[in-house]
Amino acid sequence: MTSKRGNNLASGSDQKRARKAKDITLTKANIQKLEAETKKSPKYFNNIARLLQHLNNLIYEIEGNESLDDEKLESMQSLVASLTRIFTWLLSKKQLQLRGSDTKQQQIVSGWLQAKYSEYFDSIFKIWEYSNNKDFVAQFQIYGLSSVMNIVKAESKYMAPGEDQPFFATNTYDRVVRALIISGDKQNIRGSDYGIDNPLILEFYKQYFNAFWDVKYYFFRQLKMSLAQVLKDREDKFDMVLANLITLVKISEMYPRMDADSYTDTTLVQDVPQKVSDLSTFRSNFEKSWIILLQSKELSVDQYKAILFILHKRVIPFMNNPTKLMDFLTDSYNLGIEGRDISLSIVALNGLWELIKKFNLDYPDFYTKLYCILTPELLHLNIRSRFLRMLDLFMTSTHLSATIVASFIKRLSQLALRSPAPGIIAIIPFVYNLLKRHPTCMLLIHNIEASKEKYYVDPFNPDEKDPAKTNALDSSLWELETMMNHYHPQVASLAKILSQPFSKNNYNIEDFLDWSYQRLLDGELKKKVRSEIDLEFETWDRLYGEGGFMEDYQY
Amino acid sequence: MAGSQLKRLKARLKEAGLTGQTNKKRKGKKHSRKTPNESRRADRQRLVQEIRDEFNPFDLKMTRGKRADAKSKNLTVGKPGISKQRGEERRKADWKERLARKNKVGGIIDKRFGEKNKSMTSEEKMLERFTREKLAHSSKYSLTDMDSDDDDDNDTLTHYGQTLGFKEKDHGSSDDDADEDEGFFQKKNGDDDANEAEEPGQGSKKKTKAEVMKEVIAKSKFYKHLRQEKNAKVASAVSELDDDFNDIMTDLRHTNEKSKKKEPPVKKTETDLAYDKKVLEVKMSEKAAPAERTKTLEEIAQEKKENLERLEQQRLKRMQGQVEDQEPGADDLDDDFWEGDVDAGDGEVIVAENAQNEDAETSTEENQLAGTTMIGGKILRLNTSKNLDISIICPKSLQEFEGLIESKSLDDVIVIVRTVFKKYQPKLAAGNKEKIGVFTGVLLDYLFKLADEGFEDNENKESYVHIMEFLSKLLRDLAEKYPEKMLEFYRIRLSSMQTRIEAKDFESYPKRSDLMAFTLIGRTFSTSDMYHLVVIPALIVMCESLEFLEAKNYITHLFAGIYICDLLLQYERVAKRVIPEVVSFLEKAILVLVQEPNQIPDYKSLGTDDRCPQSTKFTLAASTELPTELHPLSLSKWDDESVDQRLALLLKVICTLDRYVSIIYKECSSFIEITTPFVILLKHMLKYHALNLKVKSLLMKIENVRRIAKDERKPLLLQHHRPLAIPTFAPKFEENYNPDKKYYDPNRTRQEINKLRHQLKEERKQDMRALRREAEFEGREQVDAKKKAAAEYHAKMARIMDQVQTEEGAAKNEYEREKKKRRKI
Repeated sequence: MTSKRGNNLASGSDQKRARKAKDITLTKANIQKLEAETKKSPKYFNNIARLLQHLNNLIYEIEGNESLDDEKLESMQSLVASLTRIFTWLLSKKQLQLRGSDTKQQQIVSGWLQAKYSEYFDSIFKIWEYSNNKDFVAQFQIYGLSSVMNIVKAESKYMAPGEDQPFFATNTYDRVVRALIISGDKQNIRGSDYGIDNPLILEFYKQYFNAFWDVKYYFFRQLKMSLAQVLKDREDKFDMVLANLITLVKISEMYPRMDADSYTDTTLVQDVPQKVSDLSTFRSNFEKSWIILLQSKELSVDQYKAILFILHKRVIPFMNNPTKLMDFLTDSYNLGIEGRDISLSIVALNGLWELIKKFNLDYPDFYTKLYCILTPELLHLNIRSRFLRMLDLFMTSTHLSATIVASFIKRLSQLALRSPAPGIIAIIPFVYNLLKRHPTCMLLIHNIEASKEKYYVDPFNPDEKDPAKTNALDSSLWELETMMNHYHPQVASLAKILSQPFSKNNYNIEDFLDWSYQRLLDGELKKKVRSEIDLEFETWDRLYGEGGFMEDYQY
Repeated sequence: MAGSQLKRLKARLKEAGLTGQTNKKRKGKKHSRKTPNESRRADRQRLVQEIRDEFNPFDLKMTRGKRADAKSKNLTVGKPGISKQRGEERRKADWKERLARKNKVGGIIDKRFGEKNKSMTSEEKMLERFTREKLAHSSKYSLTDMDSDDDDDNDTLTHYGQTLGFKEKDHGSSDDDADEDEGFFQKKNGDDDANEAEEPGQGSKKKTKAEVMKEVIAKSKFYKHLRQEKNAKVASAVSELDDDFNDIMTDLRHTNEKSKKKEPPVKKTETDLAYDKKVLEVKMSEKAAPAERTKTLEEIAQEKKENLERLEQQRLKRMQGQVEDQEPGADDLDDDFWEGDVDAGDGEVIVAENAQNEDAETSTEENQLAGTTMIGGKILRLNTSKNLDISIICPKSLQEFEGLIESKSLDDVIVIVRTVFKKYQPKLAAGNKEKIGVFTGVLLDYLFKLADEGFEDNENKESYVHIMEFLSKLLRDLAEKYPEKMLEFYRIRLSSMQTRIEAKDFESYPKRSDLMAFTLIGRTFSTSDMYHLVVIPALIVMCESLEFLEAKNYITHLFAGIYICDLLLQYERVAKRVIPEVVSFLEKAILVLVQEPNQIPDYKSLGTDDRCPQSTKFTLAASTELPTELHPLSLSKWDDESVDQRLALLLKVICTLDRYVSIIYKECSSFIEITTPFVILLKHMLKYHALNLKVKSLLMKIENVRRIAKDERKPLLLQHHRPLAIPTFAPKFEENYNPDKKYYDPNRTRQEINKLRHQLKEERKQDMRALRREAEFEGREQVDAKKKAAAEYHAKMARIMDQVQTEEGAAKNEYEREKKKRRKI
């Protein structure tokens, strides 16, 4: 083995030549022959270069191509497979290692081999970068993943610094993590929850990330170290990184909180360093990765929402010090209120409450901000029940002054005036409970003093931001009285509870929060015919036009 | 009192003069010596008894009532010791008897009175037997009491062939009977009031009520009998006379026949017969019956008015949610509805008009089948067979129907539909009604399909309008015949609409057929009802649509929303219920269309969103002017995005809002809150349409109402309830308290029940006590028996031991003796 040969093979001209002759695809038998030769003697190590060359050619071909014929696909797969086998073999022979005892020539050979080793990874990562909308690309990416992970396993086994010393191939794995985290196609990011339909990541999750603890541990360890660098180098890939990470974290918990020890026992590499099972290190890695991610760039509202949605279930429990998220949460909460996108605030509120509850976070002007969330769109949102649940909790405080509670009640009832029926169904028992809990607020529906005044003017100031200053207590809930005449009979009778004696202790809010038009309609359609179906006795000569049922319209 | 019981007894006895010096001279000379010995002894007896009672206070028991002082009644005195002893004795006797019968199965107890008694003669025995029998039945209310007045006396007892009656006539004869018997008869006779009343000897005992009643009944029976006899007499006299009358009549007839000559019966001629027949026919024909009087116009109007009033009453009731359970009325098969005039409206006219140009299109074959004949190039349709096209079968699905009307003009479709209805009248064949029911669904689907398609061009428009009007009217009428079918069809339709809404598919919802469905429901059903099986679901779906519609992105959505708002107003025109979704949508619609929405001053007070409104792709240019007059909006142009159309839509929104304000919102207590955003928007609009009267007048109207509402609105007083009573536990004070009265309950039955309940409780207590005593006694007896048995056993054993020891001793002595003897030897 000479340096000349090495140079020869590595030269760019050679690559070009080979690329020109790309039509000549190696058959499976050829590949196997080359592989067998390589293993026979070091003098055939050049075969590695040939195989890599072919692989690269094929990879170039994939880009932009709609499809690949089966022959090439098969050849590509066997190329990857045989290269994987060769490198595993080399690893087991310790050929990729530089040892002090080596001769200079041997050192050159291992150096060359290491270069090829890294080239092999580059090739596979190259495919990972491609959009995996096409099936065969995705298939190939997954194939590459299993090869790479096998190599990581082999390297951890054979490349340990000393015999029988626990070792995890962190350097190689670091490259894998970097490549993985930016893989995928931007188009596949779902708008709703910012997850990504990335088969590679999903496969990684299923086969490795969730199955082996060390993979997960080192994933966040490497991420902590290299995420900042990755984001700096590939700024355009930020969305991918976020989406991939959300996808990985979202599906399940990091580790079961009950029986974490046995969970950390299953590892990919047989002999892993002891520190892997140290959960607090893991938590700090996990936490740092997230903080780096959240601080690196201005997030969009969608991204905020997506992160907030998983935050209190999937992220906060696995952090050492969740208070570090406080800035993020308060930022998003305020952003939602100032930017008038209250759904963001509502989502942030959940995480914020978690921190307030567990870590005694002091939040100034809490109720003022809460009051600001009661915007007209609140009751039209799907997550209104989520908010009302929280609000119910906050309103249980007995230290609230009646003026504040009255402001909330009055505001909610104003919203009901333009709300869809399910929203009103949620509001009325809510108001009832508040009235029952804070009897002073009964003035809102029964105010004898004020009704005796000769010139009564409604003092409520709807534009006031501070719930303590709205003068709501001297106002009345005419809006809810109007609802007693609601078109839906059940809503109307629900509204009438405010005019009946308050004999019930409280309503179970949960029974009323999750109504929808669909549920209302289902209930109606299930009703059985008991009496005659009454018809309109008025008659119209026509449907449309003059004297018709709908006068102002025509066909 | 000091001293022991014994000392006190001695003292007391001495005081009474029973002990100590008996013939001590009494100081008082009052003591009479005359008293005979006998009475003195009785005196002594009494005295001893008194003393005994005095020293045994527990032998007597008084019930001391709570109100004993208030009562002047005698207290109940019981002697617990004695009654206890008596009970014990009784139990003991029972126990002994039971013990004697123990382990003895069966056996007959001779309860007869001594049949084998030799000292009784057979006569005596019989008498005794009879007496017993009589006694057994002597209970007052016995069913078999043979001595009561109203007995049939069918099974009277006899003795030697003579009835054994116990009337007064027997009384004397049975005097010589045994005393016992006499008492018995006396008693029975005592019951016989009538006799007693007649017997003056019995004394002037006061009559009981029952006796008086009996007397009255007896009297009335007597008079009745007299009357009957009298009647019978009269009747027999009349019948006698009748018999005689027959004879007279025969005589009379005889004379008549003689004077009149017998003529042969006249044979009727053919014409006569025909005439008779005709007369009969006319008589039987319907026309013969007198027609009902033709009602005057006023009467008809009056009737109509009354009917309308009744319907209005019912509607109001339903509006308030008072559901009355009515049986679905049976529909008569001989309705005019089926008789061809399926459509009384203008459909008829169109068909007549179009009949002439129809010929070219319809195939000749069909013409022949339909019974048309060609005369001079003109087509005359024979009226009778015109519609009875044999080849038409009632379509079961839309496909079948479309196959039927394929390549036919829309006007022909009307004819075909009418033909089907005529051919499948329910009275013609069984199952027709169901078939037409299915066909109704097909027609509904067809109508929706037409609504979606719209008309192709203006030439087509007229017939399109006709068929739509025809079908919608027809379907409305059919709803009367098939309300449940219609319910089913509309339910399916509504749930399919909601599925499309839930899928968030902005393209597939809304369709024009959806609007048509809502409109038909509104036209057909009573929309003012509080509860309605079709209307409420329709309302829900419509309101959901208003929430769902993306008015700012799709002009069709905007159109549909405005249409639905209008329709909802039509729905609620009577009930005037509030629909929050409409408030919200009208505002949204104005925001979508209005000029320069980002220039709105107080956008923060808007009701739907407090972000600054942005212009949309349908926002009107600042220079555009609203039309002054509102022209009907055309459903066919619902996807028209032109400026004119948008202006028309905006004007329409304003008009709709106007109507909402004056019909519904005006009466709401929260009018101010509802209209605040609209005032802002209208003020903003006024900048661009200062001259438009509609906008201006609406704003003025709202401002006026707001001013009044602001002045007049008072805080709510929703909790004006009657104060709840606090339950009191103090006993009730009785005005007319009476210590004898136990119950003060004014409710008679409840009082009875309480009384019975109390009795039951007492009885239960008594029985429980008796059972307990019994058990105790039994236990005691058993223990005694066991003790006795054990003592017997021990005694027996001791005896045996004694015996054995004696024998042993004797034997020992003998042995000793023998031993001594031997030693001696």
